[in-house]
Amino acid sequence: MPELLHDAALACISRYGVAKTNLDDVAAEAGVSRASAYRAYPGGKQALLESVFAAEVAGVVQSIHDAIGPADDLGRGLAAGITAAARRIASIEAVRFVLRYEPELVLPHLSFAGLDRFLSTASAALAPAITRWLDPSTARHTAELCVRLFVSHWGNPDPRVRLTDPDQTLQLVEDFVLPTITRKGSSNHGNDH
Amino acid sequence: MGKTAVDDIAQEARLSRATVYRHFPGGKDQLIRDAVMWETAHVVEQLRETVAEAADLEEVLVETLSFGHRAVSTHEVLQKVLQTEPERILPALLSETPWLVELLATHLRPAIAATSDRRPGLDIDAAGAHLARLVLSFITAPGDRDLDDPEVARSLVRTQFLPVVVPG
Repeated sequence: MPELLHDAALACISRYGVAKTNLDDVAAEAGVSRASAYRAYPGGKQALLESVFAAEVAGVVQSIHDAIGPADDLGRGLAAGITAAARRIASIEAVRFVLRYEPELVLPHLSFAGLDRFLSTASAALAPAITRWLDPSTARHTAELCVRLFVSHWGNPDPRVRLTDPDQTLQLVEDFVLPTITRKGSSNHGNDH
Repeated sequence: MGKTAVDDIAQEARLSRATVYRHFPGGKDQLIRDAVMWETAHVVEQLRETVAEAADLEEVLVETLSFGHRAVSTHEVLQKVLQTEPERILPALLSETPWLVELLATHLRPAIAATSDRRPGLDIDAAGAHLARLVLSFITAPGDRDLDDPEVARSLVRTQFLPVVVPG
């Protein structure tokens, strides 16, 4: 049931947006009764949206870990993770609708205090994917730097640096991320605190 | 901002409503976008004066981070609107971002070019744009770093900014 309703919610959002989607539409889209939709989400629309959002975020995080897993070195791992995240997010139609027509729902989470919270959560979730190359503190800083660059390029794209392009992303990582990293065993751990 | 009408603005500026609309045919949204642009341009101009004396790239970056962070965190109108109506100001700020990144990059590139021990073959254009993006990211969302402390700003510059230009 939750998965059915998740897919239906994403379909509704990609057509009408978040504001105009209600639980009744989602139930109809999923082909289930209104009553069973409310039984699955007693909190109503808000609870369903939070659940969908959490599942999509988990999907993005998983795709990043999966992409980094087989990488031979840190640079390729970081580039693969960035590209996987960009491709995964670009594939969600609902995200495209919201960015275009309801940006006010997204921007508060990606700027100022909202960006601080996002950076902290995202770097904690992603750092473990690179600890086979880096000590935990350097991994955390490197993940944070990558997330900062991702958000910056996502909101303000540079035609020479498309995040969905593996070669351009690898170039970005080699030019601007790897130089800031001092490797395991060296005295400076890249910690700016 | 929600309660500020074009009429109020006209009255405050001692202009007629018609005059305001002649200059801002887009109404309040256009007024907000233009106000954001003037205000950012003003801050960048002050920044230019502040860093004019800076000795090298490290000093330029440290002063840019400190000044930029102070400008953002002590801007009363910006902070108030971010609290009460982020949905109005953030799209305006986002649409100004490409221009602002380029403005900051333009101001950083001469200091990169003047760095004699920079990486051989460094693309100054791209490095300037990258450092400008980082500056914006850190001044608006510094995390737990207290950028009002010049030593914190310097440490950040040495670990996250300078190694891109100068090999460690």
